[in-house]
Amino acid sequence: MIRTLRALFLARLLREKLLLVAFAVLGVAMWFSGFSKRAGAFWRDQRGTTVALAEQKQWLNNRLVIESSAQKAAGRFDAAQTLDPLRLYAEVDKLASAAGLSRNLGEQRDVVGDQFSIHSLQVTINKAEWEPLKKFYLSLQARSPYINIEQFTLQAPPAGSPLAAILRVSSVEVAK
Amino acid sequence: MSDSPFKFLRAGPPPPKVSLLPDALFFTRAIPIAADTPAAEVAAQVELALESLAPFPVAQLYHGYYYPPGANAALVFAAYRRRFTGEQTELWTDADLVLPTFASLLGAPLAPGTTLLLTHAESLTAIHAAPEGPAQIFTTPLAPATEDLPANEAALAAAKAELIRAVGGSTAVIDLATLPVAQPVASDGEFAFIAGDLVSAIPAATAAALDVRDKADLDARRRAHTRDLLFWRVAVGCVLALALLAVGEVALGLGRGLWQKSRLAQLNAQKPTVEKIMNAQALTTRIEDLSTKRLLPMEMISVVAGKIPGNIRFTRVVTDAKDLERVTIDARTENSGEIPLFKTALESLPEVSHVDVSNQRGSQTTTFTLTTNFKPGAIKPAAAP
Repeated sequence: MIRTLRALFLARLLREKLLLVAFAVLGVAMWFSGFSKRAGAFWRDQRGTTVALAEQKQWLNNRLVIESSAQKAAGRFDAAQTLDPLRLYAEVDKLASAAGLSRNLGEQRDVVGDQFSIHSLQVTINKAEWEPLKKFYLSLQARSPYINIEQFTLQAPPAGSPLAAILRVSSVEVAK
Repeated sequence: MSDSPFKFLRAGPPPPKVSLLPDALFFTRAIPIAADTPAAEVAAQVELALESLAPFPVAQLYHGYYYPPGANAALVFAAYRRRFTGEQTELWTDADLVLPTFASLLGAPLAPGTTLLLTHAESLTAIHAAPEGPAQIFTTPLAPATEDLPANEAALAAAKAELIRAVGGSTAVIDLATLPVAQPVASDGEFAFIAGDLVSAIPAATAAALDVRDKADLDARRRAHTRDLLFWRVAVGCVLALALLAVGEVALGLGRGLWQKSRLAQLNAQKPTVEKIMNAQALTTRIEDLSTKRLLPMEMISVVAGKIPGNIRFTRVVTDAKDLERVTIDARTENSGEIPLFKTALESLPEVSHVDVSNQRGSQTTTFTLTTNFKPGAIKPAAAP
């Protein structure tokens, strides 16, 4: 069959042969261009999926180890002393009040897990003197690791007093 | 059902276009050629021999020769160009091969002593396979046919007998009932002719030398053929490439539709579980950090403030649990000369790793940022009240 086609092709006029070859080359070039784009996109997709699956596999393989270390970490806390969001709020408010600070509590954030959760709270203290502020700070530190200071920003006016402080405090809650 | 439009594909390639010329127009000679002579030199020797043999210059002859590889002589044939009309030679343009009729049968396997008889309309040709050297060609004209058929047949038989006598030494005579006809062949490397039961196969290289057309025209034809073959190969390559692309598209479609889809489904199915594990890991790390590491901002401020020169005032202090050993202080002073002194004093402290001063601005009142990095574990928590 191929020889028949060849004979048919060779019997064409030169311009017909040129046209046929030109169309064939153009067709291949156009198709190849589109195909290479699609193949490239597919290759990148499948590569991304392969990497993501490998990463997932690694996490799944480490599941028991992670769960065990989570249990171990949770074991460091006395569940009764850990604080849920409400208790954190109440405790921080109580400590600030005890230090005689004017405070504003808000912007609570929670990260919830199976065995434990972490809650955080922003404390804004305005017009505070150094000593009450220090007292509040030390009372917070005394509740560590059940209450922790994650961020601490202190602002002083040019005169040096009173001070303003913004703290983000967090608490751990172990599921009972 | 009507014929398929692709019937011609099944029919196979058409036979090559061959113009068989009347034998009587050609004279033939055998010229000796050394067995190991290259093909190009054979052509030169043939032209040289024709110069001496023919009454006309070679340029005025249509000539060719039969020289199978390894033979010790070539059969040369030539005809005066003016014996062919313009209309005749015009028909040769599309032909693949133009040769005298007898030349088409030179590839037939003939035992030595065999004589082939070819009957043309106006002449008889005898091809005699000699024991040595190339075949010998004899032609004789035939008397014009008359209305009397038996008389015509008798005259033809007499002419044949006379020709065989003239050839001499024929051990076998094959009287071909038909003139040779070109046949489609299985490969490009040869031409095949059939006349009755006789088949003559001539390799393409040998057949090229049989072609009597102008040699410059033949060279041009060969070049054009080479170019056309290149076009053909490019076209075939393109078709193959298109076929490969089609296969690639199918593979891509299957890969995307089945393989990748199933992997994505697996990825999505595992996602919640994996996110849960990742979250547990992040929480565990954070809990471990919370239970073992503490941010000590006031202790750090106290250490830095212990070395503060008289005019420097802190305006803002920032610490973050993400970088437990660092305190960043914005400060101001009326005496900028104190800044390097302050930095040196801090760097001399055993708890301090290094100090950076940045954002230094202003002339009378200078503001700057002081970043103090402590050595890990150097800062101890203050005693509880």
